[in-house]
Amino acid sequence: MENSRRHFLKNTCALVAGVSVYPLSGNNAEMEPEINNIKYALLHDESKCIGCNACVEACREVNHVPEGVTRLSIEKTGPFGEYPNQYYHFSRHSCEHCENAPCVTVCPTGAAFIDKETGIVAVNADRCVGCLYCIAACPYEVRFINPVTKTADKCDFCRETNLKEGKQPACVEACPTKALVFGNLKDPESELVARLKANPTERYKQSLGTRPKIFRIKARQGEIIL
Amino acid sequence: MSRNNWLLMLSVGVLSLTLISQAAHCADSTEQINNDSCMKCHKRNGKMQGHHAQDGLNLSCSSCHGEKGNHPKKPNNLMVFSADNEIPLIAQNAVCLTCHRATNLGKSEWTHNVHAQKVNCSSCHQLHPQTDPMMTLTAKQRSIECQRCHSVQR
Amino acid sequence: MSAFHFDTLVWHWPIAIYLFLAGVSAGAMFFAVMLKHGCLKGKAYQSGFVQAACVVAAISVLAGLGVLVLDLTKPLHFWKILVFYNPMSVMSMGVIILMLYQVFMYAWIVITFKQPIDDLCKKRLPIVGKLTSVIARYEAGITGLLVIFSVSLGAYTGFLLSAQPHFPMWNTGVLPLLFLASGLSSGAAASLLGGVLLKGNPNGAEVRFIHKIEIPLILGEILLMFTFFLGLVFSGGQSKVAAFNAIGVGFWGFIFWFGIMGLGLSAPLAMNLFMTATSKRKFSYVAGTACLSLLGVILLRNFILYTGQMTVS
Repeated sequence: MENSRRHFLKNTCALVAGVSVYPLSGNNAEMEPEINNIKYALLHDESKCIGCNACVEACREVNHVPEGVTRLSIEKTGPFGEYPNQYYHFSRHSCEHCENAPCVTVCPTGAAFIDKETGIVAVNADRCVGCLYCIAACPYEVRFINPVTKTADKCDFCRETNLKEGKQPACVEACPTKALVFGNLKDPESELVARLKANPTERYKQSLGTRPKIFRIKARQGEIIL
Repeated sequence: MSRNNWLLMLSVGVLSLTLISQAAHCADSTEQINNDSCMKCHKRNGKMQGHHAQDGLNLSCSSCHGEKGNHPKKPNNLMVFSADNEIPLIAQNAVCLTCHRATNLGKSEWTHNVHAQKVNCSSCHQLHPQTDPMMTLTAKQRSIECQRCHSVQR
Repeated sequence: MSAFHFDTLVWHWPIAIYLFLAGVSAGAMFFAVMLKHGCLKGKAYQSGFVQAACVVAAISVLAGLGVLVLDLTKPLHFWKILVFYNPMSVMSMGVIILMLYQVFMYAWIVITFKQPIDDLCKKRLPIVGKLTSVIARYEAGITGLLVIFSVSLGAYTGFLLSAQPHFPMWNTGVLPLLFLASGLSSGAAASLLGGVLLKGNPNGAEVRFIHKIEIPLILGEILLMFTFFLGLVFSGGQSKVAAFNAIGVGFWGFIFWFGIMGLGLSAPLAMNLFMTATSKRKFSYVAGTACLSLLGVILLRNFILYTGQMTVS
């Protein structure tokens, strides 16, 4: 009896230790993705953005996003300044394509995943069961349930549409002021890298450790809020 | 019971029909401005049908375009709303701003704020046709409207 | 901002019900094991409290899973959660825990009720007797694993929420402990309530045994609640905002102070102390106290679920 209990305890401890360490080892592998030469990112030059929403409409058309939901929106703050010289700030609200994406971590079926080839955070609609865990976990609040497919949906840099056809993402193509620059972070010759090197940029909620890949050139300050 | 329901529905129907026709009548009545003395010559320009034409507003052509003065001889003091003429933009927009408050315009549509005193009202708005195209824009048309001016070459 | 409808709300009340039912099941099973091995031994199957705990545990875990499945946007695709696993996902790990927990739960119930099951099937299905004997051979292992999995299940309901960086009020390590403690006490309450309803003696050894564990458990819960909110306040930033939003003036503040701290924790604690001190354990006392405890836990789950989503990082 004594022996069997000791045996049992030993085995259980080993099992518990094994189970608790296993995800950690997986974690380490996730943090250091395999070497490849594509890592897509997007730069939003807010000083050039005019808030025309051409990007939103283009995205809706190309990716067949139903009315009532959107993968992309432009958030407007303002007006700042005195009439007649008022101005607004525009900031892009869409998937940040985090390197360390909470939606991917929490997804129970692996429907949310990071494409190792391109660094794009994407959704495998077939795997999604609609538990809403990713929507709750995303610190940027960019995920939604597509009312047609009933699956979690969000920006995937047009991975299934324009990018596949060798074109730029729909929003980038549609922007009349060229406020959006899409490119490969690992290509030192790309316009994206050149612009990132030449300008101070900001990324949202970096303190959460998500390592987002949407970079923003800020427009002039509107007001000082303490 | 069912007869009561019928009567109720009937009376509601009649009442709403009367109200609708009344409302339609109000909006449609543009006799006053279209019988303006200007229209004697300007019939060829078509009728004035927009929101500003309704009798209730009590507007005449000269309310916006100014008094006849020298017209049709030149030079005259008539106001012509266009981006392609000599009349300063501020003066053109000032006509609209006599009734429309800038703050209210900004509240109802933010783009007014950023274009104030930089773009003619008439560059976007048309008052003579039945409906101002700006009032019925879809999201897509709206962004195309912005792109008419805001476009850089690729 | 309304109490039940706001922009950042993603998970609605069905999730709170699910968290509650999973906690009740884990707690009831935990106390069934404790009762059998710490108090009743071989005669456990005759006790109304053990019977009640087993029934409650089995039904509530299934009901909880039912609620969870119906709450999916694609309920018919739920099997994909059982087929595809993501070792990084707390929910995925939770599914494994839930499945294994149920296996050991049923095995343990069979072992505990071996005598009546064997009697029932002696004539018609003698094979059942052989099967129960085989399972009973592994009683020690099954019991140990069941305890581990029931505690894991109780804690998992908290980890499910705390794995989300988006909501600072959830994103803390104390939440799983708090949910574990309240899950265990809700299991104890459900067992007591079911036990006295199944004609268990309200002044029996089982009730005294459970009260002995329940009193420190409630004290621990209050301490955890204190640590939880003080930790949030000390973290500063949005965590602090979230804490004061939750327990400040308003609907949820009232639920917290009156419903959870008052009716759910203080009242049962006082009643348990009273019953222990005076040894007066009547049906109405035991049942009433259990109902208050259960109410408190349901309120706590809803309170944490809703207020947690009100403030974002």
